[in-house]
Amino acid sequence: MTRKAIAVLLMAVLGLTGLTACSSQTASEEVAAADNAGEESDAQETEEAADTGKTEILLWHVMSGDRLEQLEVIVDGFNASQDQYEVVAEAQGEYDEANAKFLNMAGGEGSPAIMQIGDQHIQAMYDSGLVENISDMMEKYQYDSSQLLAQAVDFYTVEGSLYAMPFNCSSPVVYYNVEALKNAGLDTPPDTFEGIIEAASAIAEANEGMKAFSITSWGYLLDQLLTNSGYPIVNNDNGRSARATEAAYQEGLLRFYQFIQDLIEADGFENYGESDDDINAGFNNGDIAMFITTSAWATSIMDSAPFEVGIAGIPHFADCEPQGVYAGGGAFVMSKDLPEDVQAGAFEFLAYAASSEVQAVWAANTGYYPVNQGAYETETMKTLYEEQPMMKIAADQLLNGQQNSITAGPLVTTLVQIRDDMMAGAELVFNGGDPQEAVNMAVESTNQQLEMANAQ
Amino acid sequence: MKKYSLALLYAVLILLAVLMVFPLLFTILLSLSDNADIMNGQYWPQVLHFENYAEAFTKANLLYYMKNSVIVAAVTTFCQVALALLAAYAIVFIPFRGSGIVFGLFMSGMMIPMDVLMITNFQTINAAGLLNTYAGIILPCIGSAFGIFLLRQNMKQIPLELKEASDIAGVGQFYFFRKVVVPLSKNSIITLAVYCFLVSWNNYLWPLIATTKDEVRTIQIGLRMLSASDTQQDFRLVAAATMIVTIPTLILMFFGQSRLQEGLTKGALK
Amino acid sequence: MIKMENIAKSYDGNTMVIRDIGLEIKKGEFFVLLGPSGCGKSTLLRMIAGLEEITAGDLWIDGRHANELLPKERNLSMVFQNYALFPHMTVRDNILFGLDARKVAKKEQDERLNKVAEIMGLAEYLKRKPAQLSGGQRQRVALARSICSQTPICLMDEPLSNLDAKLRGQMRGEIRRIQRMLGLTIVYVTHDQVEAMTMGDRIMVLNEGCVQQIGEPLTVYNDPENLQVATFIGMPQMNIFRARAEQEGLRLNGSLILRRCGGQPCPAPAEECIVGIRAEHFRRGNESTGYVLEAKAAMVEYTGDETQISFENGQGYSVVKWPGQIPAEAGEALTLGVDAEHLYFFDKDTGHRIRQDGGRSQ
Repeated sequence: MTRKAIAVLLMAVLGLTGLTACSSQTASEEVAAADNAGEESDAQETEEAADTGKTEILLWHVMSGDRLEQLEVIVDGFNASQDQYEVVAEAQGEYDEANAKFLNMAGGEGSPAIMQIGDQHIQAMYDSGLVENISDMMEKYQYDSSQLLAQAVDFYTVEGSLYAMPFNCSSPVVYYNVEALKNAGLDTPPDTFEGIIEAASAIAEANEGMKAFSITSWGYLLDQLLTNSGYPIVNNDNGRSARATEAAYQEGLLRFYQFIQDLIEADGFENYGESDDDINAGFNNGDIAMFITTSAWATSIMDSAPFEVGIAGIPHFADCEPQGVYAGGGAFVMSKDLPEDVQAGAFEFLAYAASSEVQAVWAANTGYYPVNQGAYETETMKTLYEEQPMMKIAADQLLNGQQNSITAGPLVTTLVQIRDDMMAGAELVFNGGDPQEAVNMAVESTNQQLEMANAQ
Repeated sequence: MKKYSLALLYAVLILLAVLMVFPLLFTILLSLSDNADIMNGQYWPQVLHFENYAEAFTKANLLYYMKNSVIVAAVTTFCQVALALLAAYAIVFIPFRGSGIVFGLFMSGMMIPMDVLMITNFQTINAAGLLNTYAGIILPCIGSAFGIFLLRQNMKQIPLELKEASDIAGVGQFYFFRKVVVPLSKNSIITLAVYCFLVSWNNYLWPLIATTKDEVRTIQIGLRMLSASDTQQDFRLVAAATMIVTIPTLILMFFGQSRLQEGLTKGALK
Repeated sequence: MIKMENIAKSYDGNTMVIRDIGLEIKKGEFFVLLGPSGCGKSTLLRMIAGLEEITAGDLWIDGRHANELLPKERNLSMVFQNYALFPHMTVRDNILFGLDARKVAKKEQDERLNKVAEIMGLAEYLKRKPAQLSGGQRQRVALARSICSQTPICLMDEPLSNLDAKLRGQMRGEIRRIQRMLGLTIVYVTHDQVEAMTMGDRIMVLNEGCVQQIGEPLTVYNDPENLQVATFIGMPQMNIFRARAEQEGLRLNGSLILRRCGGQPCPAPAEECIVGIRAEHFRRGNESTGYVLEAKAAMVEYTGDETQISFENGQGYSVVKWPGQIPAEAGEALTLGVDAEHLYFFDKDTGHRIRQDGGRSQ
């Protein structure tokens, strides 16, 4: 190819994308464009929509790898199930990146109709005023919300209304090496932190070179552990009765850090920092007998370990009544003030994605819990639980938990930072730091960030 | 004594070389392994799984993203080098009031990390309607304080007499720029181009932020799509895709290395 | 061809590096700007070239007021001290540099190139790069470029200072030959008085930004206007003494005495002044009609064709230079004669030449 030809080609490519940008109007305009089929032929998508006469619903998500494939199954399934709407899924990196981008675009051109958020972003979404009240939508489109998992609904409820449609739900569980525990005379992991300390030496003695327990410093795991022992994360009933203004996790976090300190003293703890992959590899390698991470990993952990893996609920402090966990994970929010047909299509997709059959398949192939109660009655789930009873144990922890402000989970705009603060403290303690000091540091940072965020 | 210190030097160099090469070799090993083996700490593959590469290629649609990356990196590089050349030329060869201040401004720009500007750049690009375009990805990256600095250092080595001789000979600025400055800055230009191409090729965050659709997204984002969210990593696939993505940069480094070294140290030492 | 009036230069607005320079250079003249380093001669040249701004005064080139003209509008060429050759271009391209921009036809360029290459003896090096040439060859290329531009005025800034002595001597003649052949007007900057004396039609001696003297080489040598010119020109340097008029003659540096012979009058124009005597103006023995100096040889040096003897003068050493190989030994008593016309008197404060009745004057 001559140099000139390349230059022309380059110009053409640049020009074309420029046109695409100019013509990527809001969805309603695209529908209008669809009516004038043929006139707009520069943008591929518009062309597609024009051919099929479908309304385009833009969906932003943060799934990748295997999860992306599973999400595509759902999107394709929805698109094939009806001929009015076409959901176009676009990946946007990670939860925090996608969230920042969504807020920055502030509903402008190119904003999605539906976006997947992480549990940590629900308050920020609500505060932004950019997302639709899902409870209102449910009423408008006559959706029966009682079919949804109550715990998940609780979590995404702000001021009495649901602001996100639960989608990918998970919580932390204990994974254990069945044989190693058996060697130490245990059928299941101890229910309590105290029990773990007691069992530490037995496990070490019965298994050469193995330590009893580990956990990463991931803040999400820590606040779920506090929840299970009945400790709130922030004040004002975890932000449920009024806007959270300061940290309330002091007592619970101190006890947890002290537990880690005691366990280190009992030589029952292995430090993997914040790496989930490292802790998983250590577990598979027989370096630790138990560890805690999200249930979303269940399938892959069980598949990759060269020994039998057990799953159990997370421990609590001996003097606390176990409360269960909150329904973490992710959910879909819907942009506010969408054109009527886009809104209708978007809601139809949300309903589809949360339907019992879809949730059952999604859960079975990923390790998330179904957010639709009906899903647990489907053949898919029944078969799964029959084949892998451990998966049911994980779900039961959530399903059988209490329903109160503690297990509704923390509602606070700085949840991301709070988890970071807890993580920083945990790293300190993992490396031999003083628990009280670690808690003080975390609380100071949390309160400062919260004050700043609330002042805005 | 001399022999002894030479041996020490080589020992240090070998150690550094091993440190540098290890991640690459480890990635190659992982890319040929089975994921279950990796998770069990088996890093030396029993069977070589070359099919990982084919899988990575198809699963992540690498070719599509690679095309975008080539366009973005090539245009970014061209624009950045051209702009830096002109700016450096003006600073070195055209005396004007406040040229020192202008250069100082450029240099202070070097101290502001790109990440700080991410949000403002996004707002600019968004307001200009350049979201999801090559222009949107490229434009914020074509001004390079480092490039201006590097080329300025090089141009300062060119005797001012040459410019004066040109002035007297009656040739214009652009003639002198084209016929004298550019050929004499060749090494630095190649250095900058290689460096810029690599940076652009490896850029992940900005192309992700500047796009909401797959159309113009670059290879690093494609790579990220392979890396799992909320679950165990499929290391063999990520490693295989990483290797594929790394190959162009390795080729570039291989051919550009000597000049890159020369160009970078030239500016630094003199 | 080039005319300056009250030209001055200042970089910071306060200190003048060049002051009040006026001169006129004629067409076809070889004009030398001579002075010690830092005297402002290069700055003056660069002002003519248009590479430096003129702070005050007026410059005319070829009848045009040139203060504001761009270098390329002044229709001149310049040879730089370090030659300013383009290292990445061949000798050919270096010589022809800029002719494209001046819209000289290709054919014309080739003709000029061939002619110049022949004159300069560069024909076989045209395809080489400057790095493959010797210093003298590079010098020729720089010169060739200047000639090729066919501008009537050529400015040269210490063009020979990077060459060794032998080559320098050779190039001096060559530049002079070409200048005559082509009728060029050359303004030549140097700190080397030999170059100035041998090449220049006229010399301007500069010191600390001020004109000391303008004139033909021999005039400047024989009839210096002031102490600075007198001591700057001439090898070895003119012998300088602080003189006081006394009964028997002149007391030099408070120690030696320059005695009058016969009925010579007291030569000193003032009771105290400075007297200068060139080394070659001392005569052997008292065969002088003027004055006699008794001294003691401190050192005797033979260069083969001449003999230099130095003697103590009370504040250092003075030098006597005679042609041929004169037998002498250190410690030997010397009787030196000087003619009255070879005594240069200068004001002891200002250094200005004090001319005496009957003395030479311009």
